[in-house]
Amino acid sequence: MSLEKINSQEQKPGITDAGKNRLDSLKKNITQAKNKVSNWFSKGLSIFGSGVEKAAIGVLSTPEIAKAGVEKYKELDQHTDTLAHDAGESLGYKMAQNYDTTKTFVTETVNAGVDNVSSAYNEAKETVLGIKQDLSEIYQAGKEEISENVTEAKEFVGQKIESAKEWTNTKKQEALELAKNKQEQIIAWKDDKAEIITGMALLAKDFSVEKKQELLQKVETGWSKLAQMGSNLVNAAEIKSQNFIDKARARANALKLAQLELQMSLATTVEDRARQKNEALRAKINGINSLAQVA
Amino acid sequence: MNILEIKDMLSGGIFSEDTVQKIENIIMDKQILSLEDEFEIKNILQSEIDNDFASMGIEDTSEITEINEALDNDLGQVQRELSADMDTIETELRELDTMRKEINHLEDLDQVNKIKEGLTR
Repeated sequence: MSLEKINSQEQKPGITDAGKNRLDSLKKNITQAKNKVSNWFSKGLSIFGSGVEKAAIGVLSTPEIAKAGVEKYKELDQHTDTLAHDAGESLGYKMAQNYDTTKTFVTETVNAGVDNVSSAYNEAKETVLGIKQDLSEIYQAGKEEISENVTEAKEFVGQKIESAKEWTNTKKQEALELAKNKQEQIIAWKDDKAEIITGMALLAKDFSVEKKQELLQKVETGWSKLAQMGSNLVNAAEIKSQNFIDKARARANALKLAQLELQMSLATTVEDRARQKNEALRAKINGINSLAQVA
Repeated sequence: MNILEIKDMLSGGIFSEDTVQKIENIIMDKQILSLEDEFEIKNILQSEIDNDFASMGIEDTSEITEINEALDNDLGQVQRELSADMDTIETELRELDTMRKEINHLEDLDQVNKIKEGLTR
């Protein structure tokens, strides 16, 4: 069966219902977990401000950075094109205007029969050339500046895209690493927590604003670490789930393909038997026909 | 999986126009694919493969049912583990917030003590 024919066949509903429900449920759970992590970062932001902000931006917005960067670049590119065009048009117009004015002046001077017409003409000509030269330099300088800005913007966007790519890969790697040594990280956090509790006991005995700030800083760092851990765990769960789905699909597809091949080979066997039977029948018919001729 | 690989695959004419369109809608204007995008794209491709098998009379066998049951168990395990981890983190964050409030409260207590000391002198 050709691909076109297969692709144009009516799709049978129902066969993927179980799979669809499974995936819908997975997506729902992952989304819920992501919302939870997002809320942790938002709460951290409202409590601690900038300290958590850096981590939150990394976790929540980085996939959008590349898109925003590209949009910004497109906008800037178009804007600079327009600027270059407008600048060129405006300068060209001014040049033409100056040239025409000077030319008119020179022509009138010549027509008036003034003795120094030649020198005046040459002077005017030089002035025109000077104006042209100045305008050309201005135009060139403007063009270079615009070009530098575009190059700078391109580099900036390129860096953003690269860093976002790097971020995505790092996040995947981090998430998988975390899944491997989750227990160690939790134990490390318990140590940090014990340190904060001890610090609080000491602060209660002997209060100082410096010690208080130091402790609050540890609380803030702890918050960021925990929220980040949550984010990594969600990503790890997503990657692990996808890996399980990929493996199951590969096995199911291989089995179905084998089933299809078996079906096709059976069809071929039936076809072969029919052909053999057909040949045998032909031979028999030929035989009987030849007997009839003898009689 | 990256966008170039996907575009290459889609340009091969193997998949139906409907599938190609759905995937193009996902990758449109993107430089990088998120985990959700990868997930969605694979689902769309598998959906077409499933329908192709169905259209040729290939239905789920008991072996495939077993694979799906094992998959449900694995995914369930991942979800339960994630859910437990999220609960743990939530509890820790709640405790951390309580600590933060107590640390701030210690400053108030210190102020009160200083006032008391001042009064008793």
